[in-house]
Amino acid sequence: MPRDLKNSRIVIVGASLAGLRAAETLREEGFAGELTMVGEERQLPYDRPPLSKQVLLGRVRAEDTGLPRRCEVDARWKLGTRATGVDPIDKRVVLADGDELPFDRLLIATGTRARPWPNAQEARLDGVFTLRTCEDAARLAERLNAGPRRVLVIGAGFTGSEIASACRERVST
Amino acid sequence: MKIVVDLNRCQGYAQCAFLAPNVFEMHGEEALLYTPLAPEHERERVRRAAAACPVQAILVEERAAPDAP
Repeated sequence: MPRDLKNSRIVIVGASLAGLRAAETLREEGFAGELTMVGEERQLPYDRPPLSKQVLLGRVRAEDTGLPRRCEVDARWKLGTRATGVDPIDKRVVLADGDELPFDRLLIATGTRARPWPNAQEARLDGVFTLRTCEDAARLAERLNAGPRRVLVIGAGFTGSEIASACRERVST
Repeated sequence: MKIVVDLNRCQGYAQCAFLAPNVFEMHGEEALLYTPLAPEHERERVRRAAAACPVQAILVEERAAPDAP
């Protein structure tokens, strides 16, 4: 790692799997500078695949999916804070709370997001969920615990199919 | 103790399910279900399971991260 990078300031936007592994790799490679992790969600990095499997089956709590660390990342964590913009001239990340983070290098590891129901008002109706975050999974699992009589899954891809089979399995076991 | 399995790498060899059956369980023919936050007394078995995985898909946290807020 070049010396100017080694003691610089790095900001990672996105505090999930990719952001965490990047932070660990930086430290493993000898990065000794200031590292800041920005995440919109309040949780420390967690693993998403169990959210549509173990969590919906009621075997694991959504909040118990935290990712193991490969090493200490010695970072400053700005969780529950959305990054809203970047000033490439002054090299600053702008946060929703008005704070600004100066950086020498910036890594954007914000991943993807669920495509919510297009009508926001309808999407807020009771019993309508998307499944992407740990909080989403906790809410959905809680509702499935109540043993709903009918479940409609929109999105028949991998995640949708997993949700459907979790619903069926809960009934049969 | 935190555990994660890289399910893209996992090929369902099921060695972990034999070595630490309280933490890893085969679900049907080839899907793996595991407990991401396993009790501490399972540590030795989990460590063996991670070591025995033919594709090295299991990562076990050695200890809690001290910089966690």
